Amino acid sequence: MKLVTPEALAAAWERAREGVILHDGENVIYANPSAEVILGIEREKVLGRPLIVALRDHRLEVLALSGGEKLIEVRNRKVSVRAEAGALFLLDQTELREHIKNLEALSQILAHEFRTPVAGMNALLEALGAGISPEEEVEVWELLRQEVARLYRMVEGFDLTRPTPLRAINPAELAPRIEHSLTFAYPKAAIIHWDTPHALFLDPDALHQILLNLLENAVKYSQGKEIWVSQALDGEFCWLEVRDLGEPLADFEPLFAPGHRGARAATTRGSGIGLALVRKEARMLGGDAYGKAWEKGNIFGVKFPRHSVRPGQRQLEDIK
Amino acid sequence: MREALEQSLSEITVQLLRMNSLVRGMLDEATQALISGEREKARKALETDLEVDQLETEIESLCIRLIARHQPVASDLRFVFTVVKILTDLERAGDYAAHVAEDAALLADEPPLKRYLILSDMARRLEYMFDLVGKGLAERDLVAIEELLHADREIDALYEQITRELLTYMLEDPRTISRAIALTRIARSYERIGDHLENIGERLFYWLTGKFVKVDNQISAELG
Repeated sequence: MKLVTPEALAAAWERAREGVILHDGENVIYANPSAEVILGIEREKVLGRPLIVALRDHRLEVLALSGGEKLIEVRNRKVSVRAEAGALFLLDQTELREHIKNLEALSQILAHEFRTPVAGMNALLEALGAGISPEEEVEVWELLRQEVARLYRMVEGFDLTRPTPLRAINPAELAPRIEHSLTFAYPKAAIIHWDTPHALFLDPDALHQILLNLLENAVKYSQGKEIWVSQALDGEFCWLEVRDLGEPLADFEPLFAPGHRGARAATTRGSGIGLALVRKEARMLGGDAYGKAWEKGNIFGVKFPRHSVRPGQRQLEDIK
Repeated sequence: MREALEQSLSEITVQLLRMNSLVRGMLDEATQALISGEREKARKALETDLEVDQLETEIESLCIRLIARHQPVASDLRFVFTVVKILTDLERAGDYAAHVAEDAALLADEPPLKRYLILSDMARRLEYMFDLVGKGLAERDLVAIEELLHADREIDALYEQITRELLTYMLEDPRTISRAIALTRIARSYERIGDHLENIGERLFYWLTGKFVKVDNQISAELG
């Protein structure tokens, strides 16, 4: 077997993606080019000098001298650092971490968007299994078909960014599907009154997502009470509002931050991204989402142009 | 004799780099406490402030001892005086990072007024300024120091922006006033840290070139 020469090993370290710093417990003996990049140093200026001169970070210095492994933010980069006797290995994981964060955000959205419709579909399937009248069976199959079609569009290629065709739609058209989902996901669901006389021209899936999330929010916090969905037009703009009888809130804006769960959310399930998704969809339609109090509870709504322009590419970053 | 002087100078550099890193770490912990609402991080930042204060005294003693033992001249003397001046600015920057931690702890129980995008941006830029201090000091890198001298302008611009924004919040909704005031204090602390880092840049510039520089638009233009 051919032996590897020290020169070949040294040359390999010069080309390695992992940064390496060799030291004698006090001073730097060697730094490879990747370590130069990760630490932002010039090696000829730090060789033979104290470790902290190269590392410039007390946490890295402690790790280098005591040994171990840690993920540390170094020079605003996330670096996985492994320290062994006389050697410090540095692997820049900034991009990888960012990628993982994106995937986590995506899985969070999918879990959130699936939970309520799937609960509703499950109940419909149980109803079919238990036996219902032929007329109801036709209706149930249609509801199931529509939900499956929507969920299929959503997961098609794991793609939340593909817009569906724009068409004229009255929000009340979505009422049966949304109410079925909510009834089975929340047994104490409220009575929902729809007062949405105007047709809109937009992406129906976006409208479905907005209404489902607004209503799910209202149902969660006003169990067994009434909820009103109303609509108003003013020139080119449309307002869609969901009014509930929940405990009045003092501050609404933070509730639209991704992952934020209000004080009243302590006893309910949820990931805290429902209202963030509503805002994201409303903004993609050229408008925004808002919350405000009324004398008997709270209002959450969206405002957007009546004739929506085709939404642009949906950005995952918007809701991270 | 020269070797002993070199060793003392190196020891001072090493300790100053540690102090710079500790203050940078305080700023990072305090900012994380603000963003995540974790009081533990704020507590850590405040604990580190004690370490910073101790290190300041220790480095000052090292400088006095070096002067007494070696009577440095020329660039060595300039270095020692530069360090003594830098110590004050670095220690004050640490105090402001501690103020951020205190305010972050106060805000921890309140719902966030907004996403702290500008404040995070300010903190990120300040951390980069600390990195430039480290590079300038460790590698005698004039390019890094010149970049440091320019960097505070961005912090000042962000400070103005966040102040205006917070004022709007207060005017629109009086319920936000207490939180907005705390956030204004935090922004002010960041802005002051930027000023101290700029001062450090001026000291380092003097150490390496023997020229005094005061950052204003004219001199910045000459540098740039």
